[in-house]
Amino acid sequence: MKRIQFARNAAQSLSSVVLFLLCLVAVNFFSAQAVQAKGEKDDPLRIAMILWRGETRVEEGFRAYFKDRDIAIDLQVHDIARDLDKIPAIIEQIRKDPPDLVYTWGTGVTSRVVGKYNDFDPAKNITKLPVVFVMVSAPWKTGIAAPRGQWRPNVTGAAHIAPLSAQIQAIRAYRPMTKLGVVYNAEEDNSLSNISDLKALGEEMGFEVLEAPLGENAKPKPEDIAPAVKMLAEKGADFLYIGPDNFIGTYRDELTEAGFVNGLAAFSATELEVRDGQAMLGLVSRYELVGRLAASKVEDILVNQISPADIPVETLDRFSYLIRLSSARRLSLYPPLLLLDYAEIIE
Amino acid sequence: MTHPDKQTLLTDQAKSGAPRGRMLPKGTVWILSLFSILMLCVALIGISWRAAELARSDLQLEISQKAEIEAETLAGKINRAINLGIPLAEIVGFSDVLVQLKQADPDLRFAAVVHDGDLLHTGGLDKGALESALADQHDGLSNDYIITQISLPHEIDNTDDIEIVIGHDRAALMRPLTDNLFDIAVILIISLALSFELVLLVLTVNVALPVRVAQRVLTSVREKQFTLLHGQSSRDEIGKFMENINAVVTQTARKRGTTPRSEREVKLIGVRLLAFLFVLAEELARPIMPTFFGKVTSSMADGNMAAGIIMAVHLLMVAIAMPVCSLFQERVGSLRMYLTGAFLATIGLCGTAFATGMWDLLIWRAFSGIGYATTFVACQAYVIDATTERNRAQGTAMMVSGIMLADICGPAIGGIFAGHFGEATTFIAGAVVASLAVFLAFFLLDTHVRGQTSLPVPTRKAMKALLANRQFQVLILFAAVPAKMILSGFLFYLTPLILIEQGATIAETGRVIMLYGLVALLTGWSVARWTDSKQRETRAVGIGGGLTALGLLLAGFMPLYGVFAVAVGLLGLAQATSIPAQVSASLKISRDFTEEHGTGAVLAVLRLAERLGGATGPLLAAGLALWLGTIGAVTVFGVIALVSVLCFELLIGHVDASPKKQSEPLEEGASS
Repeated sequence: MKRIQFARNAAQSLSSVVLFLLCLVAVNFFSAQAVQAKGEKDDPLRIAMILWRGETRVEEGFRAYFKDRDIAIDLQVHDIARDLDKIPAIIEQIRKDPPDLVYTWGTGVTSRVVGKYNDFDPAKNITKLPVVFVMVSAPWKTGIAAPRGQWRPNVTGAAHIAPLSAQIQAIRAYRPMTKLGVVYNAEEDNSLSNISDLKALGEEMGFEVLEAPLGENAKPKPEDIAPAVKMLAEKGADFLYIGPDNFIGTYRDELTEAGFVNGLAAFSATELEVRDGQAMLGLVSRYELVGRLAASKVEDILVNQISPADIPVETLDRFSYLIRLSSARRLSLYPPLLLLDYAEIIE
Repeated sequence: MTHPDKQTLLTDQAKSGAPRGRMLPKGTVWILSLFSILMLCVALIGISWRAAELARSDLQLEISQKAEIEAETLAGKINRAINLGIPLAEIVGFSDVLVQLKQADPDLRFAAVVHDGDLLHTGGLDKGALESALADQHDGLSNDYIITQISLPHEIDNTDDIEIVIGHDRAALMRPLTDNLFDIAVILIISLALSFELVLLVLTVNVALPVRVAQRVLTSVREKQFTLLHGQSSRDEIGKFMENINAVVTQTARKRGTTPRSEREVKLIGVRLLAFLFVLAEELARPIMPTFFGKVTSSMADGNMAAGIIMAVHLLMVAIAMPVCSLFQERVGSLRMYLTGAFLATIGLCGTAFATGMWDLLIWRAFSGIGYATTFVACQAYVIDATTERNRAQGTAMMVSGIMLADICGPAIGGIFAGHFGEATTFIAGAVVASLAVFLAFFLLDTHVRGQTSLPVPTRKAMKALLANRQFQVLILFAAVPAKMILSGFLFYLTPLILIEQGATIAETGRVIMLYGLVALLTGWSVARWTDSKQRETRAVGIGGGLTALGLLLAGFMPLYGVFAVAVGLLGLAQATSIPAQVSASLKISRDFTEEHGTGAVLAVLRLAERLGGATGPLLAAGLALWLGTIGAVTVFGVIALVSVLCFELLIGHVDASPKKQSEPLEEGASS
């Protein structure tokens, strides 16, 4: 009898365990179904894009990423046309019809939308919706990203600037450089932070930074650029450096033209200045790849349900060496043979 | 591991009163051997020269093919620049491309772009030197450079007259020979050594022994005794002649009503080849052991630490198995014991080659250790059994010279072998050598040899007595144990590991390890003579310790290939100075004890302590390497050597050369 009783108990226990496991599988299955449903055609990912100057190749890469993975997205594009004052109205609009995520382009836009990690206002900034930024050159220096060891609950993104030391090595791979001329907008945090980093690196790598700040006394004007470049040439600059600077980015052609006049080649840390402008060389992140990197973070947040706080702010680990040959020809500064093996030559 | 055994073995015999025998045979055998070696030398030098000639013509072709590829690479880059619209004269960075090409081809000396006869771009040489090199290009062999010239493809506009010229160092043609000069020299030495062994064996077995026995038989006939028959089997002229003499002796003895006995000599020479083979089997893989063991065990543990453990287990098994085997030797017999040992070593080495992880590797190495110990004891017992007090030193010298030769040849030839055929194959080669030893043992060991002399085994009483002797303790703790610990830890474990880490080839590593045996061999006799004449054994032990510390500290502070070679050489000299002196000193220190109980117990304790010290060496080295890095471990070993020698000098006291009674309490302790 005892044996029969024991067998019954064992069978009951076994069936309970099997039932529990089946329930577990079912719960898992349905929850997986629920997650998988996000991003399908009937439930696209709703993303609000706040752009500095319309769509660029970054957004092309961003869209292509989702297309390749067959993830449906619904983008609401807000172009501020280089006018940061439009941002409060856009935030208001977003609050009325909240999307799943907000995408921001550039340091200025992102800074206005999310504030700083230690200085934000829930009334003015977006603090609850997840935000993914792109094209922020120095997210930690500008306070958009929290310092290491801390985190922002709703903000992550993709930076695009190669490490400064790699940029200097890229310049020196082209020609020797001991004096680097920089024309910059003294009103932009980005530029100031970059100049201070360049100076520190100059001491380490043995070069001098020749500064030509604009807008110290009044708002900078494009006409100020040419005299500044001439002054740098007279001081013996070997190259002009175009860093993350919205003003110089806007008037890049004035800068490079002044460089041609004074026999100075321009190096850029961003792609557009070489590809669409006349800068002679650059070590850059391809905009399309930056867009794809940002898109992968959006996928992690909205599809894979990972908190933005757990997704690191990253930059690409590979950069492209761009050479604009027409500029090299104008300056008679032809690229060394070794660079021809790996640089992308643009006519 | 092998060295303490051979050195103590030789010294034991010398100290136990047996006459010191000659190392080399004399008379006809020696002249014939010398002649054979000279012939072999001439043949090998001729073959090497011919091989170099053949290599040179092959290499000429190879260099010109390589040069064309390099010139085309340069031409491709120039083409691309021209296609991009860069004017030929304004091309930048030509010399940098040459620097890049030189990294892959160190024999490339210069390159130039020539346009309409003008040197437009150059690299490697300045313009003047390059112009004169190009002017001499038709001088053939007298030009220092092999010059290759190609034209740029004609499809490019206005570039018909552009030529790429590159120059290679003509000395590159001899580079394979010069690069392998050491390998060739090592192979030459080893071929000579092996030939010498074989010639010696064949001549001794087929000529010297039959003639010697024939001499005794004929002497007995001349003295009209007719009591001896020639029993040294030989099917040549000597054998046939002695068969006739045997018939005469038998006939005459029958007439006299006596029965002659068969006279023969034991083939002692065989033990020399067998000792050589069993040590060679193990020593072949010496330069690759730490790295190979590290690789095999890397998935389970820190590779270097695991390698240390495995080497320590091997040495520990040797230390344990030797006294155990000595107990069974008398019952089993030398031949069976040798066969068992060589068989175990074969299995162990074969298993090591195919080991997949730490645990099976440990088992295979344990097998090798037991096999090694068993064969060693078998050879040692065979010599003792087959010799008398009169010729024991000679017999021991035979075995020692076989071991010594293997110590020198093994790592060097193993290094070359591993470099060409791989590490696992080297262990298989060791297994093949060990199995060859099994096969040869049937022919080379006389089965009827059964000795009455059992090997010394320390009794409890002897152990107690010896452990109570303060000077003996100091000798063991600060000389014997550290010497073997450093030998196995530094030479067998750290040296191969560091040299291979620093980019030395396995062959180069093998050559450095070979230096140890070579220096010990070359200096051993003169150092021993100095020690004997001065009768200052403890001083010799101290000098040995000091030399070891000096070498290790040098290597620790300047871890370069050359410095390691010096340190290993110093270690060889140090061990040659210290080890025989340790044996003499131990006997002298325990003089009162040996007078009563014989030398066996003292030497057994000394050897056991040495072997246990040897077993801790790789373990300590691996632990230190994990903690401080391999170079740090060498420095610590140097410090250990220094501290040991200082303690030894401070505590050993003065041991007089003249016989002197030990103090009463010690005598009591010894007899209790």
